[in-house]
Amino acid sequence: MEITGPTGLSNHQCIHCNQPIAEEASFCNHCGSLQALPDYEDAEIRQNRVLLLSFFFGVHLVVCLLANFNHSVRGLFPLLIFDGILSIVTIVYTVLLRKELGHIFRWVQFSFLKIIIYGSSAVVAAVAVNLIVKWLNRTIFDTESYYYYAFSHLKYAKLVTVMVVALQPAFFEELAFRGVMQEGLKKVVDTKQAIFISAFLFSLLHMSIISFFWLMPFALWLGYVQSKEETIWYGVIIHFCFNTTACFLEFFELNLF
Amino acid sequence: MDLAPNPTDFKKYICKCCCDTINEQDQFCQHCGFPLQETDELQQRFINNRGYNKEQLKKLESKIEYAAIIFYILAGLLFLAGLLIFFFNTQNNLGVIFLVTNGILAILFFCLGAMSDKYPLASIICGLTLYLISIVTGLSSGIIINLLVLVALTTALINAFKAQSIRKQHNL
Repeated sequence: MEITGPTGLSNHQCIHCNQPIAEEASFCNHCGSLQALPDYEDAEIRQNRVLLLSFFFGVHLVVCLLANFNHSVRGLFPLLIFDGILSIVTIVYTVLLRKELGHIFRWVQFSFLKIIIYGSSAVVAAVAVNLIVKWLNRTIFDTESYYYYAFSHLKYAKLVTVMVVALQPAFFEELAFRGVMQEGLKKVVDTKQAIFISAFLFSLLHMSIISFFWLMPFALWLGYVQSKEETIWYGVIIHFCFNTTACFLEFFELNLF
Repeated sequence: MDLAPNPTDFKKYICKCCCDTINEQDQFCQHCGFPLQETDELQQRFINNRGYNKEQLKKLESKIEYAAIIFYILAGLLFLAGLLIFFFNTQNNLGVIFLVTNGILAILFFCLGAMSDKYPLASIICGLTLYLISIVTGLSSGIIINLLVLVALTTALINAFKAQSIRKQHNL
């Protein structure tokens, strides 16, 4: 609440006695009350939030484990089912936490320059990561994998690949991890730790230990951008540019242009 | 002409509980909540209470340290297992795969152990999740050891939450 008193001491008020206090004050210098929620209320909120987010991550984990380790559910249809489940869960949680997540959908500091900078950085990062991953797959794992082959039998295979690999994850993964998870965790831990935990869980859910070396820095970058810009949209653009570049590099490698 | 007092004009004192600076007219320290205008008895009780909370926090922090020790042990064991498989498997590239994946896992656990001092909650939550996934995916076997590690990490997590709560409530 804004205070326009004659002393001009501070624009902060004590939550108990409404007297002006310093911005950094942990206790009111007039009534001595703590400028935070009491322990029991704080603990209850944290406990509820931990349970809520554990269930959210648990659903994501079960679906990702099924998709990665159960070979009987391979193919486009199961993939769409899995993506559909995760998208629905994310939407339900977004509705549940709408009061806290409202601000990340706004785009107050819209800037074309930032879009170009973030987008081009994502393209450069995607090219670098793609080269390293290809090299690792060939030399260590003696294998090559292409997203395109999962959709190659379809009429608009390239378009479907971009939609399923780039567009859908760019929005829903950002909403799930930089939205629900990161913002939700801010009730439990501080912002730095919230960014780290959501980035770590995001990297874990990709079910590839070897991919951790690029997924973790990428997720930390996305978390930092969301926190700094206070919007989800720059993250969605970065994620989309990154994944789309990976798709186009595949098309280029498979001579599909 | 009377001028409203500038906050910088107030005389500065030192709080005898937390040693933070306080203003002359303050009734409570805005850093620790120490009652500056109360009787000596009440002030002493406040100092004792804060000291007790500090002790509790220290105890909890020492319990949280177990999580870091577990992470370091896991990192060491994973790296050692990777090395052994690498040296004893000469027929195909399975040894290299194990060395790389175990190496990455070892680095992750080592980093989580290193950051548990500064960011205990983030470190334990991430380490616990990583360990749970390694059990589910079959990377870690042995019911008793898994159970012990899970119980120890969960206890450390509960203690980290308690420590965070004490720190927040008393601004320690």
